[in-house]
Amino acid sequence: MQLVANIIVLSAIYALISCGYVLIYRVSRVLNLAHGELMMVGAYLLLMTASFTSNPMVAIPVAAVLSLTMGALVYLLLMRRMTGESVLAAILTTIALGILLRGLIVIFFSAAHQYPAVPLGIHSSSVQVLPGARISSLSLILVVVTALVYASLFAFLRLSRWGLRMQAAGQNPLLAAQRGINLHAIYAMVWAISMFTGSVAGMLISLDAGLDQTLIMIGLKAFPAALVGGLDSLLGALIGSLIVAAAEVLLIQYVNPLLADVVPFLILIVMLVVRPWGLFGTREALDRV
Amino acid sequence: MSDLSPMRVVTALIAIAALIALPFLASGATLDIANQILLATIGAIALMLLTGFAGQISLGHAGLLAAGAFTAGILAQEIAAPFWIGIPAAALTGALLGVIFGLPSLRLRGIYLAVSTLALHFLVVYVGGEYETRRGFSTGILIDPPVVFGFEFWDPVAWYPVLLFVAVIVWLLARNLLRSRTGRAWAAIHDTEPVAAALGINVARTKLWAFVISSAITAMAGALFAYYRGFVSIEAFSLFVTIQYVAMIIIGGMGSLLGAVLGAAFVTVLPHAIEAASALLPSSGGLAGSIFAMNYAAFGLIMIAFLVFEPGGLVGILRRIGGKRGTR
Amino acid sequence: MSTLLTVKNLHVSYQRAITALTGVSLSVDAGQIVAILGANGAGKTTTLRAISGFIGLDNARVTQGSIRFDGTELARRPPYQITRQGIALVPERDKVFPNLSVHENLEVVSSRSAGAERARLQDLVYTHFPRLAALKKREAGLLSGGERQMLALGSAIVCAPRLMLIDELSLGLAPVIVEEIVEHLKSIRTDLGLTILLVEQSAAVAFRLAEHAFVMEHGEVVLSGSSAELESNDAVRNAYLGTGSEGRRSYRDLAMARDKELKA
Repeated sequence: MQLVANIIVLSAIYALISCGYVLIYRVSRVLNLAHGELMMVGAYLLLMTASFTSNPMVAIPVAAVLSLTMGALVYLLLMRRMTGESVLAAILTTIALGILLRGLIVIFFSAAHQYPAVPLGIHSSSVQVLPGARISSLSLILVVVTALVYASLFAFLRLSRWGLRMQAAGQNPLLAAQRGINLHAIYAMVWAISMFTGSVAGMLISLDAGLDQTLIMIGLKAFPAALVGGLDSLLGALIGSLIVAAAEVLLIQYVNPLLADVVPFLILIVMLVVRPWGLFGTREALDRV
Repeated sequence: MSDLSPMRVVTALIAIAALIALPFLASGATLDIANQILLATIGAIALMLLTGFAGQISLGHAGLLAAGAFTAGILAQEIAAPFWIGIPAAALTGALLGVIFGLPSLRLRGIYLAVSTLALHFLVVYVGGEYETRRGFSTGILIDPPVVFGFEFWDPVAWYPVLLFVAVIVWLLARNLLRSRTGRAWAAIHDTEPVAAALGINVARTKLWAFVISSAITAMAGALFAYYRGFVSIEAFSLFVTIQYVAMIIIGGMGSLLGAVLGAAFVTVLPHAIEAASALLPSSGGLAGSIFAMNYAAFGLIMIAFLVFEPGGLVGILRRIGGKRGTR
Repeated sequence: MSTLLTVKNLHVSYQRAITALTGVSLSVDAGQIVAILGANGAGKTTTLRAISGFIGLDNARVTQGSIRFDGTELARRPPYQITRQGIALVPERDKVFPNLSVHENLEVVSSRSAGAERARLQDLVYTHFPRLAALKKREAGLLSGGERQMLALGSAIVCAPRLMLIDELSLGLAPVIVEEIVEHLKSIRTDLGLTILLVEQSAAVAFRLAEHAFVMEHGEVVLSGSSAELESNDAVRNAYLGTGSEGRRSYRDLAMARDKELKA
């Protein structure tokens, strides 16, 4: 039972992170390999706001709004310039951005392991969720938040006009532009949302476990989850996260704890061999890149 | 490439003279940097062949370097193999891995290829880490310096001519390869695969060759690195190393062997330059801890600057300056 | 009648090498329906794409000339701004968003038409194309060719255009469907006071719909006139209606041949 609870928590973490990869890829066909770093920046934004106020009801929303803004700025100041460049150039730009952010984070916040939960007075307690399974209260919140984020994303993409425009831009950017849709605005919006969801994940993880550069690795491991599900499918990201998390928890438990960092990538390789476009992805996505 | 304008001949002669004179003039520390540049040059030429010429994206370069280094290390450790077995063995391992790294490219392109090579990187690093822990070398493997006719290669001065020789050989090999049938086939698949196929080029074989050759050279560079350092640890082959090599070919200039050399020099010297610069700053005490962070930041910034403003890299800048002078 | 669109001496080249247009000049009066005729590769589609701003995304560039729409210069403007100026394009291919429903296709449009105006235009589309009204929830990717064309016209109409550009109205559609679409288009045009510029491979359809036509060849306009004039022009008949004795040949060749005959 404890294993089941652990799988659910880990898949919630991966799902909350991997939707960021999916959103950006689905709408703008860019693979954002800086997502792990952007997510970490979100967590450090919380550390920053926590140094001004000890009220989590202020610190967390302010940090979330800052991350939303920063996500849009990443597109408008940097990625916008990569329009029309090769796939490789766009990926490399995100990698370069990631390296830059890693450096800046250490310069501004130091490399030490820090706890944003302390100034905010947040204490995690253990909660009984299933018979014989306990998780921390923050993990429970994380699962709930992930569910909420996915529900709102589905609703936003399916029901709101801007969500529909995002889908339209992803399907056929030329026609979207022709229908009066400002692609730059759409892309800026999707980068903002993506960084926002990533940051929320980063904040919740760091409130529970503290914060340092290892957060990036979690962000990178969420990427195979997105790809296993299909890079252009949100539902896929959800299922992919569940698969990767289950495999990781079970293999660590029964085979070898050292496998932790490599399991998601093993699954990724298997998926690339069998069905590269993922469980729920569209096959054409493969030819488009 | 082959035009011998007086300008070019003079530049080349000066460069050769400088390369020969270096060990007699430079200090041990400077020569160590020069050796690192030469090692990086070999690896960067290998990646340039694959990405810059054959157009195949790879994010697994550190994994291949690690594979070469570990092959040499494990052979030295387990059967006390000398370097003249270790280095060919490393190249062979690289070639084998090249087939594995290259197989996804037959089906995948663009980001999917990048991702599959990235995944292989983590796999190689995991296997290396497993070996270290299983055999109890949790900090790394020690390798004795190579001995040739009783002469022990252990200091930068002894290594310099060896590495220079290997780098020149790899350069010449790459240059001739690019002029051969294989090189022309790479150019063809780089531009458009369907057209290449229509021209009768075996696309699958051409791609695999690119991966095999590039990986073999890379693994050899990894093995040389292991012998040069006398020490192998998986810590030395993080994803950041891959990024550094990718940065070398971007900063140097895609599709140019000279670019690979310039990029290798630039990326290798950068951290030392930053260290030297920060030592000059008055508050260096507080900054000392964040030198690596400044490296990362500067590195990211420079990469972005090249990607956005100068996609032609250093070679592109050189060509423009040359063009303005009217030499070509 | 006032001139709505003036294209003057337009040059366009692809990838800086291949010249697609070599000095196209044409003008469209407000309220007119105008057709551009010509063989494959004559530069018809490129002209439409240049006007709608699509061209910059296509590795092509306007190298010379001007496109003035209602007094505003449009050359080198991004497509979404051109749409908001009041020009909507119905492209030849990929004209709907396949994974969105019919209604969603009409919803995503972002234009000058806000709120009530958008709803009014959507109603107008559904009134004129009752087939679409019946298929509101159907995914656009599952529509037939004719329904797709209606949806594409519909979503262009929701952009609240003053000028509508249609690339190949009848291509690949059954004559009955073309008939239906042409009728609806005519009545929508009267309702909205639309100006239409269309590219047509079928001269028969073009002459039925348009009041005025331009004939293009090798990247330039070689002939223009009212539909009635052009329809009675022998060379045009020969080249585009296939009713002459010489089969389908270029307009210019035929005109030259005719001149020779006249001289002899």
